[in-house]
Amino acid sequence: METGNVLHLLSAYLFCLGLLALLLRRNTLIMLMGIELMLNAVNLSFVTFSRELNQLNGQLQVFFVITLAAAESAIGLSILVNIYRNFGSIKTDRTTSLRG
Amino acid sequence: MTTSTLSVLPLWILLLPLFGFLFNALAYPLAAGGTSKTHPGVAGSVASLFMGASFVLALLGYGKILGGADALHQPLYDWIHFGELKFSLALHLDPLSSMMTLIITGIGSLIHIYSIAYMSHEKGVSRFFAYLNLFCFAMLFLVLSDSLLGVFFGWEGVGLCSYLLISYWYSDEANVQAARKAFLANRVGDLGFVLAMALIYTQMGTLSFAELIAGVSGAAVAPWLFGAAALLFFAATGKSAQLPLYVWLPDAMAGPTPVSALIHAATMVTAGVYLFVRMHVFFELAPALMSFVAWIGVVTALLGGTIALVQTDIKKLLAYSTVSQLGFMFIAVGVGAYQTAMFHLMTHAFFKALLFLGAGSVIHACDGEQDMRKMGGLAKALPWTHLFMLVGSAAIAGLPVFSGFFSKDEILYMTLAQGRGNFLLFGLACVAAFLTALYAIRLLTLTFWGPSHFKGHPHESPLLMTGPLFVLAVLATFGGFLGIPHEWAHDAHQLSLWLSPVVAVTGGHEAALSEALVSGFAVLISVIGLGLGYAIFRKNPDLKVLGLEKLWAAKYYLDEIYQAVLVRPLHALGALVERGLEQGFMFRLGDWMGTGVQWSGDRLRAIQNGDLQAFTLLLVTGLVLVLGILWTWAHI
Repeated sequence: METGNVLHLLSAYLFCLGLLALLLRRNTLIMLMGIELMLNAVNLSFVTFSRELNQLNGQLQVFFVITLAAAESAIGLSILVNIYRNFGSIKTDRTTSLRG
Repeated sequence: MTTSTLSVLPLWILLLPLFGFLFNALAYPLAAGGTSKTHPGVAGSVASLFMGASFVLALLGYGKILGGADALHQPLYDWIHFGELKFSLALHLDPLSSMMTLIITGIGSLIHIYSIAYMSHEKGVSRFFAYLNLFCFAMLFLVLSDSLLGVFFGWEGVGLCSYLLISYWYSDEANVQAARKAFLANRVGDLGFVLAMALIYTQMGTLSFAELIAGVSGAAVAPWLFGAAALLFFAATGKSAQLPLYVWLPDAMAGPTPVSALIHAATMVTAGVYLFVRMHVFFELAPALMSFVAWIGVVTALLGGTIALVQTDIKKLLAYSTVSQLGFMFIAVGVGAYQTAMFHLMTHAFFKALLFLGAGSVIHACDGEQDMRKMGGLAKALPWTHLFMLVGSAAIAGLPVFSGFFSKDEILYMTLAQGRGNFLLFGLACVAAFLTALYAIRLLTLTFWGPSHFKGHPHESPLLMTGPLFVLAVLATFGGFLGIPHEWAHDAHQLSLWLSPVVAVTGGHEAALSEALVSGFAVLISVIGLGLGYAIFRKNPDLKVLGLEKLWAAKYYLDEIYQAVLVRPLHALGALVERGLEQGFMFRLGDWMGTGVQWSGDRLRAIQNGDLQAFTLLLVTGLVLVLGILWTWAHI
């Protein structure tokens, strides 16, 4: 199998792994990590495409995603701290005050 | 085909009254801090000034046409331009519009000046003058437009202003009722106008007069053409107060008297006549309809004349007289004597405006009293008004030299000379002329001559009111000399010559009687009418003719018939719709929608369980669905 295809499959696998972490784990910290994983899976995909198509755009895009991921984790972590202060836990099964 | 000169003159004739309206409707009330604080002198002077300036421009336009220009033309803009559909607005000042423009701005200016004094005791008069100026704008638009659509714009505009001015004293419910009646009766007629326009557009693809007339010239008579002509006639019966839609005009006298003079006598109500003259080539293709128009005219003339005989309200009498005189114009139109109709339109504008303003002067003098039985013997107190009313009555009765003599005799003559006329029409028109003399003398006798019944101290009106009356009296006396019969002097019928580029004189056969004989006969009728009327009404204001007076006083029960046949069934239908459709269905529909939303909300809230990851799952599912749909879409 070609390196590119392996990398694409790996990227998709990592993305799904991140998505599952986001959907299934009750710990908000792990959920944030899942999001990071998904972002990085996309990064991997970008880089791979960039190499296959001989275009620099994909690699450039990765820098934006990394910047965004940094900002996202900063906000995510601060939300997490507030969740802990308000609910006394970071488990999502406690934070259900938006129930209709 | 006539050539036209490009000129902004028509536009300015039109715009000046609009500026007057903007001043009195917006600028002045804003500056004065409310309509009620406006001063009649200021509002009236500015409004009159704008009208006067417009009149000067109308004179200039007249001069230009006199100086050789066939018509002044000013395209405005493409109003509607939508694919194949294209309507352009343009102003067109040809001899016919020029004549109408002079009448509107000239008599309009006089009536504006008169109103300054007449309305001086009122509060918030700027509203009155704003409406009056707006009316003149709309009326000028009507006569200056070069297409049916433009005419319709003006047609609706004058209807609106008429409504606003009839209900000017809106705190009295009767006035509001009268205004509503006028508006509704006009709406019924306007429906005919809209349908006619649609029909003409689908058949001819244009609404411009020039193209229409060029298009139908020499065309074979088509059924649609007859239909369009009939619909336009129906519209005209509404605006020009003919049977069956005349019922609104007498009630319209609820408005201030200058309004009655300007709108409900001199200008607006003649719009139907103008429309017929403007499109006479079109109407000539439906001769059967035109005979019918003449018959409607004569029946309306008789109806108006007889009802006028038993009215006690001085303005109502004049209103029925207007209905009757409009009937005369439609006789002329119907038999195909278009220049004669325009001639009578003009002289009628002079003497009826004079009579109305004179009546206004009388009402003003008697502190708002309108019942003629409570007047009498006012000749001494109101010498000038008396003199002017005398002139107006002589003109309407058709005594020689006065304007009505020339125009009405011409109509009588035309009922014989034109192809569609006949002796029966002539005879009935003569009866209507006799009635005219009778009610004219009744007005004079009851108001000015007989024993005095007025308790107060009547006073002559100020110069601002008698001045315009004087000018109108001069016009009503000498206006007829514009139309000296051909038989008496060659090319002396100035009006007919003036209109000849627009209104071709349709060929009539040789009349059975000479015009001189007809004139003599008509004068004889008038004199008998005046004499007989004086003999009857000097002693007794109430007429007794074989019990017919009861029928006349009840206005032939037409109002009652309309109530029973139209108004009540419509009310019943409305009530039925309200109970069945509105309360039975529409209201419940609202309830159903509310309960439906509540019910489905109760069911759907289960999804909103507050679990963060459940939300995320929904989000992802949605995303996958959308992507899946897009993917399938791209690969079908």
